[in-house]
This record gives sequence, structure tokens and C-alpha cells, in this order.
Amino acid sequence: MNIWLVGAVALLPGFVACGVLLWRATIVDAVLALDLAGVLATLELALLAEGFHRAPFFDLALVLAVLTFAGGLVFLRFLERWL
Amino acid sequence: MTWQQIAAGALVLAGVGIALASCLGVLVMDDIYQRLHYVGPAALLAPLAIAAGVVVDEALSTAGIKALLIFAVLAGTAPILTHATARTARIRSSGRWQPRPDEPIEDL
Repeated sequence: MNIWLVGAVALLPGFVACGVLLWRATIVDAVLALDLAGVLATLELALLAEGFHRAPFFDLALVLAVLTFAGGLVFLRFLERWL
Repeated sequence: MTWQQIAAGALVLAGVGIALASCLGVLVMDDIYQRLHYVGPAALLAPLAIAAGVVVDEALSTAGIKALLIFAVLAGTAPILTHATARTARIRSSGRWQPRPDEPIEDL
């Protein structure tokens, strides 16, 4: 166990907050919670990659950061126009 | 324990603390426009602290460069996503994002 894995475990309650918001609030708030959860998951993957000393796993966090952005925009576009 | 490990640990805990505080802020705020302010620190300061921790720990190795890349992507995309979310919320609540004639801009 090292500080990186401690940080990764300590970050997990943040997902609970996003889950509560997803459950309780309006649909646009839910998209906001989804985006925040995407950022948290990106940080989680980066902490785990460093904690296990696996540099190639940083690519997962990098791809997730880009896809969180793209996915969020698609949701917002649909919510703006058609849903 | 070296000073790098101490500094990297402090940066990691700072990054995780900022992210958790942002989640708490998003949870307790009243409406979407207030909540949007709390996504900023999580998407900018937390990745910056964690990327700095990785660079302190591993210098500019593969991991260090990729951690900085992750910060750069998040720093570049989060403001755009925040603006798009605010715009969507505005359109869904009032039908258009531009201010209506009877809506003085000072009150926005």
C-alpha cells in the first residue's frame, strides 16, 4: 500500500455524491454529475496507474478524459434539442 | 523517506481533498448554475495536484508526461463542458439561451 493507493481509495466517496445527485436532481444536473464522475474516474485511474507503477495504464485515464468530454457534449446536445 | 515521496504524498492528498470538496459542493448547492461552479476545482486543481505529484515522484518519465497530458486534456475540456451544460440548462428552462427583451441582463 502506498500513498497513491490510499488516495485512490479516499476518492471513492466522491462517486457516492455523484450517484446521489444523479438520483435526486433534474436531468441536466444528472449530466453534470456524470461529467464530474468522469473526472473522478480519470483521477482514479491515474492514481491506480501510479500506485501499481504501471505507466502504460495512464493511457486509460487519458482516453477516459477525452471520452468524458465527448460523451458529455453528446448528452447535452440531445437535451438541448430533442429530449 | 525522501523529500520527493513526502511532496508527492502531500500533492496527492491535496488533489483528492479538492476533488472530494468539489463533490460535496456539487451535492449541497441548490440549482444547476451554482453547482457548475464546483466542477471547476475538481476538473482543474485536482488533476494539476495529482499530475504534479506524479512528476515529483517520477520526473518527466513516461508516467510523468502522461499525467501532464491528462491534466492538459481535463483543463482544456472542462470549461467547454461547463459552458455547454449551463447553456443546455438555460435553453431547457427558458426555451432559448439569449436573454428575452423583457429580461434585463443585469439580473442574469
